[in-house]
Parts: sequence; structure tokens; C-alpha cells
Amino acid sequence: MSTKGVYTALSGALAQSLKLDTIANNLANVNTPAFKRDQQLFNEYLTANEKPPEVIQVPRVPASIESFYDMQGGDKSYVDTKGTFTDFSQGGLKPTGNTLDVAIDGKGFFEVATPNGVKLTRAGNFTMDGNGQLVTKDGFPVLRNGEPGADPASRTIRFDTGAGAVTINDSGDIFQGTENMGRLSLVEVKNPESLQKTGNSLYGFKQNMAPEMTNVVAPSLKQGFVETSNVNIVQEMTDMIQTNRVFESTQKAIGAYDSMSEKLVNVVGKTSL
Amino acid sequence: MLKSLNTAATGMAAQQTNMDVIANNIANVSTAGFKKSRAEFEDLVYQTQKELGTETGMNSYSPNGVQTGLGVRTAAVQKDFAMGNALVTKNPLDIQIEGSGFFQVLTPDGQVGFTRDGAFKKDPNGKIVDKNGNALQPEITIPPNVAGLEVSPSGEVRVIQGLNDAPQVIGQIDVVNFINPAGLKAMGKNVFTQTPSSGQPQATRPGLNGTGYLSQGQLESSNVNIVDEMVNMITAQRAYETNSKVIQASDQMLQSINNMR
Repeated sequence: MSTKGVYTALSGALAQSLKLDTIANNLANVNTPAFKRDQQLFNEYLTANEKPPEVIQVPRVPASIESFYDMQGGDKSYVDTKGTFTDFSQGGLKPTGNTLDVAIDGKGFFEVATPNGVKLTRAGNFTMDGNGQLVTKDGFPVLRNGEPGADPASRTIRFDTGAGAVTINDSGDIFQGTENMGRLSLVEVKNPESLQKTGNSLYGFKQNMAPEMTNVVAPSLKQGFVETSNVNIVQEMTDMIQTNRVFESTQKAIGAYDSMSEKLVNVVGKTSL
Repeated sequence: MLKSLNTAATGMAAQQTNMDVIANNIANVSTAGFKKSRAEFEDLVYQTQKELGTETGMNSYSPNGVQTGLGVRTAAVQKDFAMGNALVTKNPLDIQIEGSGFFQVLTPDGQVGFTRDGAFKKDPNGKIVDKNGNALQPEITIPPNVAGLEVSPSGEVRVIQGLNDAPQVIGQIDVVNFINPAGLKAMGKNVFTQTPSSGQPQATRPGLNGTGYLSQGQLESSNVNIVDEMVNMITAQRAYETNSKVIQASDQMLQSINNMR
């Protein structure tokens, strides 16, 4: 017998371990504004079709168990991580009463100028820096709409002291007192699978993926609200229990291979009678 | 495996910070001029197991990679400068700013501090000071034997000495405004100091440049809303518990590894 199936069981254990890492990150970010939960997806990785597909040739070949359950090498197939998928469904809206908290109701991302270029975010818990510029919690300027291809530095938003209260209406127009300061840039990404999380609640684009961004036609923003994360604790807990048990099962499979090898080495291969 | 242990630990630490902030808000529910805070979080870096968008063949790119996040961190503790309720005290030296703005007081280290707590007192020399003896700036000294003290909405301080005397102006209380009050640093004792993120203080007469008028005989209560804080406390506590469950699950998985042989 061959014991190489132990590696199949091992790949299962590694996959479950990766899944638990993702669940842990989802749960750690359960109170992070506008956090979107991740999911790991797995598929089987066929090493090789070890046998050509067989046609059962009855009655010329004696029927064996393989003739009925043709697995085409699938019995020795490792688990492969297919990819991490982000669930972009809407989080809840939590009232804060803070004038610079803006939640996106529906599709879209805010544009943020970072030292590494323009990034996207849905976390609308903005603040002001000492110069009156509208910035994220990390101090990156939030951008307003501009001409296509305009320099991001020309699209920052600056408020003046004492020029009145800041209001942001549902379509993203910013007013200080009665002065219109422009409209918050809200972009929609046509191919959300090209987005990649870069930490700090920001999203960038994957390499080789052309960003397909358009301005959201009818934005729906809510001033004085923040979007909560879309992590569902019940679902994560259930997934965690399942992950834990599947992991245990793969350990049992590895243990079974171990005891089989032990028999093979110590009982079958016993030379001194 | 150990990754999820650390990830859950960052989650517990973040909820601990959340709880600390909530506890301070609730502890100061009756502090005059207190402004509540709120802890805000963001996700940490992501570790890439399989590169995203790599070339897998001629003109074909893998549409997704494998990334696991490594937890959460506290991005900011945001102060909320919303108005508190008015508390009528009838004390002539209790002054509330009805809108935005701060009083200036001289702290013991010679710096100017900013406060919204308008519960002022007189020191033995008649100088107007706050609870901790920090003099209100610009300094105002109340002469002895005054019959009445009056603070006008625009900050003019007048005294009446005799029954038939006309009110006499002894000083002017100015308030200051900041472009970003949330960037002020809390020093304790209801005093804030300026930081690069708050911007420079801009002194003005009350009621001008977006500041509020003064109102004598009342105090601003704290803007902490107990119901809000209770709800936040429940979410923080449960999120803490959930993260501890992840640690338990990781521990069990490590245990089953150790029991393999």
C-alpha cells in the first residue's frame, strides 16, 4: 500500500487552518467601520489523472471495485486554495451624530489620496487635520469630484475656521455655511474582483487588473452615520465550529495513515518469527 | 494556526481599548463640559499566500489570490464635541458657551489651556479662576464689595457696586475656536491643549466667527448619552467574548495536532 494519501489529508488540514485565520480576522474586525468580510474558497487540485478513463468492459474483464467507482485520480487530489473573496454586501448604518461621519448607503467607494496613489475606502469616519483638510483617520486627504485625469492634490477638500457648520447632503455635495465646496467623489468599481485589501480599511487594485471605475450616478450618503462591518457573528461562529471539526477529522485521517504504516513496518515486515 | 491566535488577540486588545473609552465616558457622565470619545478601528495588513492577478498563461491572469488579514488596530479615539445639555445653576460665575468655542485658562506650566467647563470661582484677590485655580485669560479681577456681577452674551463683564451706580465694565471674556476641535489633546481636569492637528487657536468675541454666545448662570453638562454607552458596552463585551472563542478554537486545533501521535 501507499501512504502518500497522508499528504492529501495534510492539505486538508492546512486548508482548514487558513480558513480559521480568515474567520479570526473577520471576528477581530467585527467593530471596524465598513469592514467587509472575507471568505476562503477551496477546490480540488488534480495532480494527474493516473489512469485513463476506463470503460467497463463487461464481461471480458473481471469486474473490480475500481470499475464501478472510477475516481480518475481524484482519490489522491489535494485541496487547493482557490482564492480569497470579499463579500461587499452592505453593512448596517450606525448613528453617531458626528458631522464628518458619512456612510455610503448602496454601492460605491470614497477616493483617498495616499502616498502610494489614490486608494478606495468605504469607511466614512472622516476627520479634519490642523489645516482644515478633510482626511481619513490615518491623515490621508479625501477627494472630491474633478475633471477626469485631474491631479489628486487639486481635489482635496479644505474647510475654513468659523465659516459655518459643515453639511453633506445625500448626494455628497459638501456645504460650509452656504458655500458649496464641491461633491465628495464616490466611484463604483465595475469589477469588484479586481479590488485588493491593503489594510487600514483601504482598497487598491490587483496587479494586471485594469480598474474600471465610474462615478456613481445617484449617490446615497448619510451624514452623521458610519457603516458597521458586515460580519455576522453567528455565521462566523458556525463556520468556526465546522472548521474546527473538519480539522480534527483530517487529523484522524493522518492518524489512520500513521497506524497503517506502523502495522506495515512492524507487523507485516516482521522478519524474526 | 498561530496566525489566528494572534489575530484574535488583536481583536481582544481592540475591544479592551473600546471598553476603556466607554468606561471613561460613563465615569464622566456628570462632569461639566465633558466631551465623550469613541474608539475607532481599522484592519491590519494582509498576508498574501497566493499573489493576486498573476499571469497564469497566455493573456490569462488569475482573477483572485489568497490573502488573510492579520487583525485589527485602533486607528483613533475620536472626540465628539457635540453640545451637552444646559444645567441652570443661578450662580453668577457659572458661564456656558451656547455653541462652539472654548474658554482660555492659564495652566500652572504657563501654557494656555482650553476648557468648556465654565464653572468659574473667585480667588482671594478677586481674580476669576477655574476649579483648579487656573486664571481665566485675559485676566479679570472683580473689585471687592460688589453688589452684582453680570456677563453679557458677547462676553462683557460688568459689576454694580452700589444700588444707584451704573454698571461698570471690568473686562471682556473672549472665546477661541479651532478648525478641528477633535484634534485637541485632553490634559485631564477638563482642560485641553492645542496640537498640530487642531490648528491654531483663533480668539474672538463670543457669538462671532461661528462661536456661541455666553449664557450666565448655567453650566454645560457632559454630552455622554448613557443609553448609547450601554449599547456600545454590550457590543464591545460580546465582540471581546467572540474573539476569545477564536482563541479557544485555535487552541483546540493545536491540541489535536499535539494528540496526533
